[in-house]
Amino acid sequence: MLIANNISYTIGNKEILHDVSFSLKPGEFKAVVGPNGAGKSSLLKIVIGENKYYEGKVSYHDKPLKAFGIKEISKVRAVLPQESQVNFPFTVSEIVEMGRSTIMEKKSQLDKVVEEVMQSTGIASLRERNYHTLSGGEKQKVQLTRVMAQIWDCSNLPKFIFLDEPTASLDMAQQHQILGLAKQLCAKNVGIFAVIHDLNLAAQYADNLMFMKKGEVICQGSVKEVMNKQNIEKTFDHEVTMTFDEVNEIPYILPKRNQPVVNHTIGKNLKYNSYEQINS
Amino acid sequence: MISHSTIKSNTKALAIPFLIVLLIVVFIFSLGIGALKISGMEIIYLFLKNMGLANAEVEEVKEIVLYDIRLPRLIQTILIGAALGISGAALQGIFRNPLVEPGLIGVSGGAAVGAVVVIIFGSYIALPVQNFLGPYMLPVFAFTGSLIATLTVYYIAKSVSKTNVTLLILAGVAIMALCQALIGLAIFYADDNQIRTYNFWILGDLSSGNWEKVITTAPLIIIPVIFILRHSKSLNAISIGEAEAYHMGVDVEKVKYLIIVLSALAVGTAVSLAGIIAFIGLVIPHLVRLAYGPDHKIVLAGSALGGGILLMAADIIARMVVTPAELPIGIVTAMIGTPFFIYLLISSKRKRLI
Repeated sequence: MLIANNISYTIGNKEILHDVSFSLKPGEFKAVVGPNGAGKSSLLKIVIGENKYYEGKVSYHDKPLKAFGIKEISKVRAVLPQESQVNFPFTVSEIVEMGRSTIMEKKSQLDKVVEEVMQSTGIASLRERNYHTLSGGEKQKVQLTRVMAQIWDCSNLPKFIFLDEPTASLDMAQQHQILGLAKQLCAKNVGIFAVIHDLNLAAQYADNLMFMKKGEVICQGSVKEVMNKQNIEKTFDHEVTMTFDEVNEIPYILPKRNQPVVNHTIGKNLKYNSYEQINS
Repeated sequence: MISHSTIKSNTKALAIPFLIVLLIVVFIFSLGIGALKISGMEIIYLFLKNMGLANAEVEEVKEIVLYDIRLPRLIQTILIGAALGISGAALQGIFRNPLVEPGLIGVSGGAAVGAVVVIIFGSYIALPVQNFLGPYMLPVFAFTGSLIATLTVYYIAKSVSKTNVTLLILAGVAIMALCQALIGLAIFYADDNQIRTYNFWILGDLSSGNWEKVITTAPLIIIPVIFILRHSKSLNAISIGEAEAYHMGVDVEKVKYLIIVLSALAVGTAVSLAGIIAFIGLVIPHLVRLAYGPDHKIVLAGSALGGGILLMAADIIARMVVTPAELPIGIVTAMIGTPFFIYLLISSKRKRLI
């Protein structure tokens, strides 16, 4: 289990995170939602061990995060960034193989793992393709496969995968493919922690949601508990209408359209104003 | 039916044996070339004779030329080529950019400053230091120079989470300019003789190879080459992103420092032996990647071997074009390397390889 207690993080005088606590169980899918600048990515960087300058406690399986070595923690958690820039024309299978960079194993075992993982995400047919020639969705699938290869069969402890806005630059079908694959992993007892921008998308896949705003947790709990008008409007400062998605049996939100506002006071103070000229 | 993937993995598996054979062929060919021609058969006889396996009749002068002049020179050439090739490949790997070259980011320039200091002001350096370093004085100064230059460039280009390549190249340009100014300043105080030595040396000069130099400096190149070879997996991981590599369990900062220090040592030693030889470190990793793909398991070893092969080939040209005189090797590598690099850039752009 991953436990984060009272995480605070400050840069200069600016408090990025204030007293954030949460836990992630093996097999749980937790999505973090909130406006830009809420501290979602900062929180993610802290719990994966990339940023060490924080206050509070993070532990994996009752062992403090700070006691893990770089290699050791890589066997417990893996991370899928929003987009990876690959600078050399590697093939798909070579990229997936990199997930096993720090694992000492025989070539035959390595090939077996790579093949298994590629089969499980359905990219086996892309094996020899140059990564640079893939579409955005295929690239992200390859990266997710690499991330899965990293924690595939490497110890008996439950694993965690962190997704940092994994669907931000993908089209609708691709978004659902990536999150669907992530959801499959939960069935294999992997805990998923995802920063997701699209609330409806988050609600469709996550078991639990965490709403964040200005570095603080607004609320967290199961989708049914916390996905309501009050929490959403408080977090995003935007009016929404709640409906219910009968097909997937989850709440569904419809954000209110922003009406164009004509500001008369500004208009009247200007000497030559086309608006006034037209209406006079 | 052989699938595409089998063909590819076969060529990958044969890459290193093929390059080793090619190295040996070019090596033997190159041994025979010069004012005094020695045929391939004579060379093999002489080697066998030396091992006590044959009793061949070859003129004594050929034996002397082969053992005392050409052999040390060629071994030195291979070592320098390997140092430049593998450093180029490793630096391109850690900076995640195929345009990085030891010459471009100040490694060679810094080494040159260190070496020029020894060439021109050697006699002013405190005697205990001279005695302590002995034959290693030139390589040690060159190494120190290249390490300072590379780390300076690296720190300028380093931002919070990644290395900015534009800054890296520009910082390299600035450091190279400074190095040239420092070298110019040193030249100002040099006498005619030293200037002549320097002129040959700055354009690359392989002709001064002898056994003493080869034996003292070989470990300074072979050791870093072996250590760089051990980082192929980490370099693969880094090429999809520093953060990604860190997440996968690679100690990215440690790998970067190691590669910089090892490259500075190998290139510094190479520069101290034969001056600045441009473009080997840039072109060779490209050729290996085009032929066998970007996997560093092959790119690193292949660049070491390929560097040796290409430098020997360039040396053959340098010796043949103006016989009995000899062109500075750096001119040959730049003349061949620059147009070839431009061709690579254009074709890679078309194939979306860059």
